[in-house]
Amino acid sequence: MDAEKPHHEPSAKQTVKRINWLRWIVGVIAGAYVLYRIIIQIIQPEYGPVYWLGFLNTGLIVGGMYSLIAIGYTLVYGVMLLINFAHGDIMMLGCFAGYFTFEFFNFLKVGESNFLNAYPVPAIILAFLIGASVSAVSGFYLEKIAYRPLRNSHVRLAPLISAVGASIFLETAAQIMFGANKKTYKNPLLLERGTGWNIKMGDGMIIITKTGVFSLIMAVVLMIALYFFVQKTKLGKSIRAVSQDKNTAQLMGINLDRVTSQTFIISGILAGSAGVMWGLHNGLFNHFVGFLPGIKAFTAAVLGGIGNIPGAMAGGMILGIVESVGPAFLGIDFQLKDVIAFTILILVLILKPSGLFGKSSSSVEKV
Amino acid sequence: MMKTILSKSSKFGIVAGIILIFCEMINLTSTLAEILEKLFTGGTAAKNAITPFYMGLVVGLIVFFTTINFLRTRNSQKKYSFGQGFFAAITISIVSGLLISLLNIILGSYLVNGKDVRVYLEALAPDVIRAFLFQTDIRQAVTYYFMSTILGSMAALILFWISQKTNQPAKSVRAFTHLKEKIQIGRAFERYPAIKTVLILLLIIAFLLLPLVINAYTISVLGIVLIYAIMGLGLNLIVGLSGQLVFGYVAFFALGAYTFGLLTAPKPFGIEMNFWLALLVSLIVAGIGGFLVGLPIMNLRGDYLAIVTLGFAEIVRILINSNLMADYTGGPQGIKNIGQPIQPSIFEKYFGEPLEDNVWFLYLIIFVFLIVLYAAFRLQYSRTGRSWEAMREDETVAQACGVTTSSYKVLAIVIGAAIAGAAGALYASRNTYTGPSEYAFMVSVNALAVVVVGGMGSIPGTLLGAFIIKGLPELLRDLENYRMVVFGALLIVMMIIRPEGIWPVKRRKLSVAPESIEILKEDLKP
Repeated sequence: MDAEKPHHEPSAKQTVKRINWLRWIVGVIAGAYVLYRIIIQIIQPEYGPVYWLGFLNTGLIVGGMYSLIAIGYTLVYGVMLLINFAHGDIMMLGCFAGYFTFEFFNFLKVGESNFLNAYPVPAIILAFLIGASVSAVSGFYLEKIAYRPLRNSHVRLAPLISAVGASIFLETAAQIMFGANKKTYKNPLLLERGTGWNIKMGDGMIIITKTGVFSLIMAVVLMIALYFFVQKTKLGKSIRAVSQDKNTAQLMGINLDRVTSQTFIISGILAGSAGVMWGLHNGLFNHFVGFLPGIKAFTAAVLGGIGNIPGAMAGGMILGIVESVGPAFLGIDFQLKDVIAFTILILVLILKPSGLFGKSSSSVEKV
Repeated sequence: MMKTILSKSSKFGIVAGIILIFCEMINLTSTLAEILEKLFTGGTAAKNAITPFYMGLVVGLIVFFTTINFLRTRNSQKKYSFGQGFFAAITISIVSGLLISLLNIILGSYLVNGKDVRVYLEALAPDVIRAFLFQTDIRQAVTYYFMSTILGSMAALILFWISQKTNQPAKSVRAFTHLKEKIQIGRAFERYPAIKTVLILLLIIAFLLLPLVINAYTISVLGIVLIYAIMGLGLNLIVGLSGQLVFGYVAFFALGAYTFGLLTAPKPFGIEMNFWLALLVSLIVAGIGGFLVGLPIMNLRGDYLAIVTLGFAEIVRILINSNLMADYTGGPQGIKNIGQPIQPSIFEKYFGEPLEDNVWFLYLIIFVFLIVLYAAFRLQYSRTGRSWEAMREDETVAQACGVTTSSYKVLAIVIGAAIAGAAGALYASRNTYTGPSEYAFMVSVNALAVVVVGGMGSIPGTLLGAFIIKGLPELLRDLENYRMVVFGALLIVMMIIRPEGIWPVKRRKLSVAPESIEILKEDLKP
């Protein structure tokens, strides 16, 4: 990119100048409104501290799953410069795979009870393994069938349109095959939904659910593992090299096809685990389960600076928390929780397109 | 050699088997069998009683196409002898037959044990499985599927070898090109431009007389097709010409529809504005929506617009469905009794009696459609259109050539959004109702498919796409459920095989008369 910089710079400066007023207006309005709401919350609080902690709790749990999905977006974006629009549906496939695994274990009779409750720990581990591997395999074939033939396409939009096509195909195929009605995850008794530890605080009570704690721990463990994987192993090094400069990486003997495939496998593993967590924690799901988390995770990836792995992790957490705290903080209906995420996306793109943890604006030019 | 043939052909067999299993799981096999049966027996087939023969035919056809594909791709790399081809075809049929039989054995054993697989696989009703399994006679079914896969691949093999020996496809292609050269329609058009004008005029007149002769059902289908064609023309400006991808096109459609509804319905405001004025206002409101969405991405490259518009569409959908706006938008109930235009009395004077309401409204849609079509043509070949195309091909070069990419980007989105707003207003007025459920993500996907399938940047392509995407599924009602699956696959396949679409844009070639070159040479002489 450096060689092309002189071409970019004048135009970038011009447009930045032109857009600055917009940035200022939007920034000042948004900042002033947030300040106003903070003052309101201090002067006449609607909710006690217990509620805020409760919101924080839900936000962290959902944020963990967002982070896992967002990492997939960021990794693929780094390697292919492509928004993998079907990533949410890869997560959906993982969710379905986990569901079928749990159903199977529920039918499997061991002595008087079933396998699911007789051996809950192996059952959960197996469900995660199967969910992750189904997602990984489908990610691998998705890239092979829908993206690889288009890598050198002369139509610039071709890979993105292909990604939309893949997303619709997976979603509607799942709808026809498994039905459109919502299904319920069968959790083992060990991780029953809704149960957990009640912590008394003042006059209120926070419920910390077992599934929530489990999901959060699992997400954090996976994220740490991924971080070390990307930093320490040879494959991680080659992924980083490809996302820095494709051509030079190839000159250094990195097989681009292989690295791309492996990136899709890794992001599939993370998305599949997130899918199983989603099912375990929320219970209800159907073929549409991947759509909203997918877009929100993309928002999280943009928030953290797309292409930036720690940024995606932090972005997911921040988005999860903001989304669950937001409605109460802004004093709006809880129905409008999804609006907050998309508003954040638009605000980030106006105020700081390179993301919270992104580098300077030169990387945005490339985007 | 044998070993590589074995591994390659068994790979293809597995692919065919997976396709077969997938088709059976989404119940496509039996639907296709039903259609085939109707076709061959003349529509007398009773529902829910599909003969296994036609199921076998569908299975055989799928294997047939896989085998043809295998032989064609492999043979272009390395010529197979007949024996090797036979070996490959047999391998494909055995592998695929094995997979489909395995699935049916599993399903059959569940059925015999009295379990209903519909709990997990909703598409597979017990009678469908029974039809697959010859009333649960598994052994007969397995033999039958093996027979049909083997017959399918053998048919493919024989057909392939005949076409190889006689060189038939190449001959046909050559004959076709000869024919094309002989007729020279294009040449005639070039020589006598009047023919083209007359033909277009005739086409328009035929198109205008059409609503008078077709029945009510066709009128409603044609209305939908034209509304999607309008949307497609608008989206074509954004996606096809300026090269920006918009996923949430439905947002502008919804903005137009709701603005129109609020302005013309008796509730909640009771303005009941004039139709044309309301159409204009909803067009402007949708355009303003496009402007607001366009601003944040004005100086960003690439794919951000796709997701931003998708988010915007979700915001619009959630807002119109929410309690916050329920006083105005009616929440989930939507807006009822949206106004329709009053028929002018001219028609009554000429025809003796007023036109039927749906015919009159179809004329209205045709009128708006023709205006949008004209505008799209003018835009495409204007300075603006050329700037958009330059931007689509390369933003940096376009900037260097003096195209202010940021403002042209926003302009494309504003115009496209305004057209979508007009389409939305027409849609709302046609149904006299608008509700949040009509503005799902799938509408955006349909609009995108209209543009992509027809040919990005091509206006006739967009019209063709609108017919294929909205018209064909109405005619093939049996395949209604599979429409979106097919679209998804179609988008991928189109991008790989033919990214320019079915009816691509014809580039204008630079042509210089030979004499002028000579003059130029004279001029350039020192």
